Amino acid sequence: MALTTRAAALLLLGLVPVVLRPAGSTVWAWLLVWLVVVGADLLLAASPSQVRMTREGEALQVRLGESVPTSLVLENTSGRTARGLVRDGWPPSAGTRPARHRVSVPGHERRRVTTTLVPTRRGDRVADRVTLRLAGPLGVAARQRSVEVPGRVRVLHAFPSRKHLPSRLAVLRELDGRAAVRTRGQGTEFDSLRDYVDGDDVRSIDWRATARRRHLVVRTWQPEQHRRIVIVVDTGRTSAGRVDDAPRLDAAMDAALLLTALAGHARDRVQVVAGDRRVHARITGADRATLLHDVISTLAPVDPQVVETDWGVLASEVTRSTHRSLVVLLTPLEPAAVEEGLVPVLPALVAHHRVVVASVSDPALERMRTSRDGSEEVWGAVAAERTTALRRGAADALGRLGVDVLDAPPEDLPVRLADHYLALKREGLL
Amino acid sequence: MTTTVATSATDASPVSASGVDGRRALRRGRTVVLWVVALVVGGALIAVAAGSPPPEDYLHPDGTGQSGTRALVEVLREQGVDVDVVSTAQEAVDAAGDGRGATVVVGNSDLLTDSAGRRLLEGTRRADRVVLLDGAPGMLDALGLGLTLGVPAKEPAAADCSLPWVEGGDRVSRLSWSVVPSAAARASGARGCFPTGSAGPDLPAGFAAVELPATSDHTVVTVLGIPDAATNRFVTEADHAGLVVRLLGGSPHLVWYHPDYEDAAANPPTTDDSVWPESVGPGLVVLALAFVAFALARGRRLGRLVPEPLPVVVRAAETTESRAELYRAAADRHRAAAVLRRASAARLATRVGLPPTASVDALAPAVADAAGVPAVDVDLLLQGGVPADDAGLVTLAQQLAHLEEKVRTS
Repeated sequence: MALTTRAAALLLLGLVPVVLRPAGSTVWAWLLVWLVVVGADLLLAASPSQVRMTREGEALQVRLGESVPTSLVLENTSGRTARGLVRDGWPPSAGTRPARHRVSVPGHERRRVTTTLVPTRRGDRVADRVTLRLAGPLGVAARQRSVEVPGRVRVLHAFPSRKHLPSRLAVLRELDGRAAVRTRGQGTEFDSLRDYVDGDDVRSIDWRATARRRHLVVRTWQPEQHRRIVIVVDTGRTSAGRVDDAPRLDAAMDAALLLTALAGHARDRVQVVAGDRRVHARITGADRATLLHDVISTLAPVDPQVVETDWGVLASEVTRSTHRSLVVLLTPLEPAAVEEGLVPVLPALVAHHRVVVASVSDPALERMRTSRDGSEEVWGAVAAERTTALRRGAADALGRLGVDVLDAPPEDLPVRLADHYLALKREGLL
Repeated sequence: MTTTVATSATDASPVSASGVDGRRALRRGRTVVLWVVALVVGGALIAVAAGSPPPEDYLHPDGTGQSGTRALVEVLREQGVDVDVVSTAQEAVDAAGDGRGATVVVGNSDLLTDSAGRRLLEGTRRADRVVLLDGAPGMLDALGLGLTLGVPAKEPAAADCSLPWVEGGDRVSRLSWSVVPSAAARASGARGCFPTGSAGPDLPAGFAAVELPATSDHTVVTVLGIPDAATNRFVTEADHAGLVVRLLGGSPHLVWYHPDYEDAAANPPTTDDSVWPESVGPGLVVLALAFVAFALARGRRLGRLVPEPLPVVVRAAETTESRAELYRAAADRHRAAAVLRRASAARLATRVGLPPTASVDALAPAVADAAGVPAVDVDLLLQGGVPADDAGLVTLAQQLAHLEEKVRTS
């Protein structure tokens, strides 16, 4: 049961009889009247257990920053009109609007109540209980009940770097076109035979085929396809650090998504692994059409963990296949973590694969480094210079192992990684 | 040689160690005790010498300020009057004893309650006289003497009465109140001196002093409306001095009653008329009940709180900031300068096309060429001395940034 403020106001009205007949007994008499009124209102209220509630669309998906409606259907199975408040309980970061609804469901009818969710964080959000508070005809007392109505919304990564995809796809197409007139070489593979036309490179004539067909035939080449690309997203403690109020992991995922989209269009086989001491998400791009969606959806509930990353576990995911692959490790260049965790497993990886380490750098470091106005700032600048030097040392150490290192701020990293991929593809180094 | 001496000394010490140590501890303990005793005795002496400061109350018999009455009390003592100062009604009654040859005077009546006043009058029925020096405006009505206090309509011109302590030519000034006896009081023998006129044509006349004759309820009661006449400041004005000395010095024993808070607490006022209407009590109960109902109504949640799975919140730059704090706390300018110089040198080397590991000797001329500054300055900047203070470090950092900027824009 629940009282309303109207009940308190009704009790306050007792001041009138008290002023007219100032005695203690008046107070108790009024309290008795009030209790009777509240009790009667409570008895006349519709029962919340006789209102059946169902949710339309139990599993929702929404990209971070966008809104999604979720609807409850209230079916009143009793004869009384159910009048009161409904609250669809979600965690705060699900961003429910409005927080509560005023409803009135006549007997044996049903009503739909729609709550808009504007989530503020990536990940899965599970609906809590739905609470129904039905007031009596006077509105001084109400009956309340909370029930589980299952619901879930998966908040996907905002993928802000998708705006760069069209321009990178154009580069990819240009690469394709250029390769059509390209002769045999590294990074290309045999495409087809066709008749010779004037202007074709004479070196591309396939003499064996020409002999068979009795007219000149040339071989055409295309950029290599179906290369294997493994993107490893580190979700360990270093990925939890916030850069401009978003964890590094989000920027790393952004980069992984852009590369997945691009490599998918280039008909490469993409595999994405996210993990720290164990693997949290693994997507093998069997179906090219749904690849990007699968990756976004699978990575959505992955959060940074406060554990040290075990690179042995992640490296074994990569070395499952013996095919030569492009291995992209999305991990911050934290000198200590890199030296102790990553460096020991790298030689084995570099021996069989092309390895790229992509790290999210912190623009705050650069701001600290260049701000030299006063004593406090200069000490900050000294520390920032030291950190920068250590990071560069770690990057150099990786470079000496034969690893390509990319270190860029969150908004630049996806583009830098995509461009690096395109450059490798152009050079035929995959 | 030295070793031998030292060894013999250490050998010797354990033998007498306990004795020496014990005596030393004893001596130290005695010193401490002596110091404590000296402090306590000295403090006590100072406290006695300083005494308590003279009270500042209005009409206090020990008050040496402008509003005190010490001067008057001293004069009375010189006249051979035995003056007792008391602060409660019980003490005043006790001091007056069986009352013969005693005058009781109430000085400041701010803290005199009606019950204390009645107790005083009752206990001093055999005394020579009770004087209310400042008219006791707070409780005079409650005593039932038939006297009220009013605002004096005019300054009294002459005494115009025949009381033993008033002389024909006496003049008074500084009137605070006009004491107005009721018709009944006049009929029973109340006599007023120094008429102050009446506030209106139909109202009875007031006086600067009124004396009531002794009755079965009380002894002779004198109520004065000129309290200032007894103060150190105004006692020498007009004929105040003679007047109050004759009034208070009439008996060999004077009890000066100056009520304090203890007295007021021991004799609580008996006024009991309530200022609240009767419905306030039950009304407050209704208000409290309504408040509880309101709290219950607002406090009931619409469903339970939903927990939020919070993410790890740690800024990426936190380690660097902590490192800056450590550097700052350690104030290691040597290392700081080296870090700044090395970082700038590596960037400058890349800028002018040398390997980042190039020595400063090789770097300085190239940088000087690019920036258009003397090579000596560049050399000094990149491998000069350690700054002496924070200001020097700031200057160095800014000069390095400036040099890099110059090379970049050249």
